[in-house]
Amino acid sequence: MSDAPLLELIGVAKSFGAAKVLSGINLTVGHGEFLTLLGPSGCGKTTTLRIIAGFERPDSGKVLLRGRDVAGLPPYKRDVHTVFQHYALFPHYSVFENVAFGLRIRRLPEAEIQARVTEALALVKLAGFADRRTTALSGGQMQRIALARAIVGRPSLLLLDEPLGALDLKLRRDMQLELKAIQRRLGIAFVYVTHDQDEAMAMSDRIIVFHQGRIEQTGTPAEVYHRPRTSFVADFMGSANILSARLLRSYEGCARIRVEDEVEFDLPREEAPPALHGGELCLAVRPERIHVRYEEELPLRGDCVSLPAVLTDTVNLGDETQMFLSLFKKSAKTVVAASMDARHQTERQDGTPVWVDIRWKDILLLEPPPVG
Amino acid sequence: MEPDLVRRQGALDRGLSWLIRGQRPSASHILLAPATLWLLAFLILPVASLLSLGFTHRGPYGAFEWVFTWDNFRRALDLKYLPILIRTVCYSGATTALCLVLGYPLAYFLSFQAGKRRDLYLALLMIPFWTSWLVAIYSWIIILGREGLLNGLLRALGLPPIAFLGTSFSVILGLVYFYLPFMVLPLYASLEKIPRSYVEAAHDLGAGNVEAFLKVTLPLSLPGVLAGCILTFIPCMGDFLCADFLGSPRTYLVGNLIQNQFLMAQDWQFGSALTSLLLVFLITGLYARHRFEEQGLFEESE
Amino acid sequence: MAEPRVSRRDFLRLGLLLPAAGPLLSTLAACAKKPAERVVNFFNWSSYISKEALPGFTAATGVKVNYDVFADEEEMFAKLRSGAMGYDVIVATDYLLPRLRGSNLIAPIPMEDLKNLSNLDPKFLHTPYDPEQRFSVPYLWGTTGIGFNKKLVAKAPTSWWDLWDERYKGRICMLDSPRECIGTALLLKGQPETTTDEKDFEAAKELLLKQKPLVKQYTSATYVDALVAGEAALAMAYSGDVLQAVKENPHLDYALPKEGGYMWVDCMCVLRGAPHLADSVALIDYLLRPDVAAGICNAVHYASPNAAAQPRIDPAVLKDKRVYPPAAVVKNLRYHTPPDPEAYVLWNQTWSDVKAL
Repeated sequence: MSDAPLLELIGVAKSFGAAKVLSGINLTVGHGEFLTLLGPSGCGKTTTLRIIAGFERPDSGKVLLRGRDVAGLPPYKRDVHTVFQHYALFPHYSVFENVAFGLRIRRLPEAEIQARVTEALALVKLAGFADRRTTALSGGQMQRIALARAIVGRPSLLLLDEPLGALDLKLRRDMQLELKAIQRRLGIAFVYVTHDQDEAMAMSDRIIVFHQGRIEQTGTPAEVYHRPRTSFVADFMGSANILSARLLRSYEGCARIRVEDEVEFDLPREEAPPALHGGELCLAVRPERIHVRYEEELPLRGDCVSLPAVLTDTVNLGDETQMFLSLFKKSAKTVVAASMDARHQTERQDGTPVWVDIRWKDILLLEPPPVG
Repeated sequence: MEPDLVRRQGALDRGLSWLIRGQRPSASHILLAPATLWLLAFLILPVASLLSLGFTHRGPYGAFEWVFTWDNFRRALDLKYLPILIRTVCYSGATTALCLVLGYPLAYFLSFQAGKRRDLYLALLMIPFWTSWLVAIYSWIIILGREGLLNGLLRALGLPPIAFLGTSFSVILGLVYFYLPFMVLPLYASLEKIPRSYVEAAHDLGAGNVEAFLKVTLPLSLPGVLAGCILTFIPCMGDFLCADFLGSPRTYLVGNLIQNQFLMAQDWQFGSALTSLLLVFLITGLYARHRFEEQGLFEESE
Repeated sequence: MAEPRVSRRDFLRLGLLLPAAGPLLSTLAACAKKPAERVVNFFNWSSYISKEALPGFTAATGVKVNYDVFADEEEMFAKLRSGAMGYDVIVATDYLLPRLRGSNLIAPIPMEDLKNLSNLDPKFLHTPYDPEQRFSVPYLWGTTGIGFNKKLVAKAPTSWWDLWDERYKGRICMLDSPRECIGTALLLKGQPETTTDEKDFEAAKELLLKQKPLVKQYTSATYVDALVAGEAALAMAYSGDVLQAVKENPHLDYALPKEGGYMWVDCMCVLRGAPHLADSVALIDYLLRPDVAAGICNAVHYASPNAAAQPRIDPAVLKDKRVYPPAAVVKNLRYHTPPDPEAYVLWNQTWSDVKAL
């Protein structure tokens, strides 16, 4: 194998008519890697996948498969297979023939076809289903057949377009684990498209977050979750309270920050905050990182910011309690805190004054969203 | 796409089930009542009375005499009419085959490649339906005639004229012209129903354009092929206008024979018997198709 | 009112496609709109009236005429028999009258109301087909012979056998009419039309089947077009149809065969239960006026039975032996014999087989 990465996209752009769908996409997929393209619908992740598969041609840019530009090649000349969103199983063929389809195209000997199809069906735990009609299968079974059909030809890269989207939640969880296990076992690189951040977190080696046709951030699940670079990523990966902020002064190891043009505090930091656009930035805090403290309680120990607030609403979600807090007088912006602590489950009257403690390390300073 | 007749009979059957099977009338029966009455009044009764006419005796100058007889059927089954039936089946078959050969690429183009202009092309396809049969058929006479446009072209090229009119060629040409939309529309509908992801999946698995077509698109469009063939073949079997205007005495078809009984020979009884036999022939064909489907030979896509 | 003279080219089998709803609907519409408006529904052969006649009648009487045409008498009969009501006046050939009466389709005409009846040549009155002169009023008469294109035939036809000439294979038209074709075949076989012997019909059928490979088309509607366009060289034809078309193609001509052509008289009849009887009689009377009858004769090149109209007929038409054959030729012409109901079956089944086999 050459030194080149398995797949490389360089400066890929695509428009449909006047609508610009992708611009300046650069990404690489390593051998055996599980890469997830994550983003809301319409962000360009599926188009990227279709460009890799060959169903769409990029307007500009390169698609390098093992260092060779395949941007002009039709899908059937690429060593890449796809698991389609709605499976796209051929209704006029049996399960066996569906899985054998690609092998028959390649005119492999019948004995090898038999062996490989049987093996693939066993891998997806549908060994006894070879003679069934695909139209008589459940969603989960169709999903497995689609997977078997895509891997039986041993591609070096497998593309999966929201493959679990049509399954119910529980089945989805099981399939996530199974897909990951199969990927490990086969050692095939997966490029996996989803809009479900939990799924992305659970399965991926790396995640690429798409937003409005651009790559917002690339990183391991932990990096993307804990160190989001933009407010979009912070919000999309789990939820976050996003507040506007301004960097007033930056000392050595400390920054003075004014939040929502009202509340000011010093934030000691190791690295310099991203000071852009004349100090405008975004401040994000995940709800579970906000500690709500009643007046009779002791403040959180250690390095944290404490701010006075008023409890406006409490929602009980079983284990978790969500508290809506008003921190600002001028801004109507509410901050949400989430806690698993049982002491918040006893009703407090709305309007109760409270303290909000946030550890320094839990305050994320981010690039503000692009204007417009 | 089921032929209309079959669908209508389904509705009628449902509409009448309370009467036939002693079920209590329900809301659906009441909702179906107008359609049922309509079908009874304008389809079943006329067809039934026409068919029953075939079993009756012919009075002076063709008057109706409601006396039972097998004579009309005995005459209709005379072997001397066999050549006409064979000719009609051949012409209808040739027309159907030609319509399929011409119509499939057209339907494929409409469904897969026409893009935004699809509606325009579909409208163009329907033009034969908008123009009067008469105008269309006379245009063909002008084109194909001895002194017609086509022969004018041949003459300009220094070639001898060809007698196009009055031949099997001209009759089949007319039939193809009129019945092509009957082939294209069901084909188009069935091609349109094939999810594009099936074709993409085939490409994805290594199938080139030809292989993807042969292994996926074509087999999945077979129900449309069958529906198109039936919808083309059946009206061809009853057509008389093309043979009448574009043909010669040697291209006489079953439709002409039937028409002749009603309009010229004043022998409605014999005409009814012929019509009944044609109907039995066609219904047998439809039933055979139904059995094919039941055996799952033409499983439709979801 | 629509253009009264609908040419054959416009017409074809339109009547077949729009079965007889026309007059009924227009009558209904007329009733609904203005009950006072007077109409007559007139059903005539195609190309069988002058442009002026019907507007003239409307101008003179205020009665509107709904004009409908047919190209094929058997089809016309089928329509009337199937209950296409609404027509008042039809034009039918002498030969059809017994059948129309036998099927109870026509009604006696109050002849005393026809002031112009006396204009008719008496030899066209009290004829065998209407001895009491109760049901019909002669309209035009003509002959059945051979129309041909002078440029396409070696010599002008003189015999019915010329229609069996192999040289004209595929360029011969025959009228789609059992009476003309089987009648001619019987004549050539030396059998009378009154025969009821199946063997005679079998022989006639054989003769026509022998001719069939030569026949371009059996048609009463489009043979003139075929002659004009040069598609046909010879055609069994009605005299006036061909003579009208000489304007379009000067090479056309018409001949009566030496074995004897057929002569016929087309008559105006009033349908039983005609909704507008009085105005129908007025229309018939108007068409009997010398000036009107002469105008029609000049336009259609069929002979008029109207003696009083003679001075007003174009001398060229009057002297045309193809329109008004000389007495010696007329002597050789014959009327078709209307078959009785049993023979009628034979005629029709023979004809149906000729076309089908």
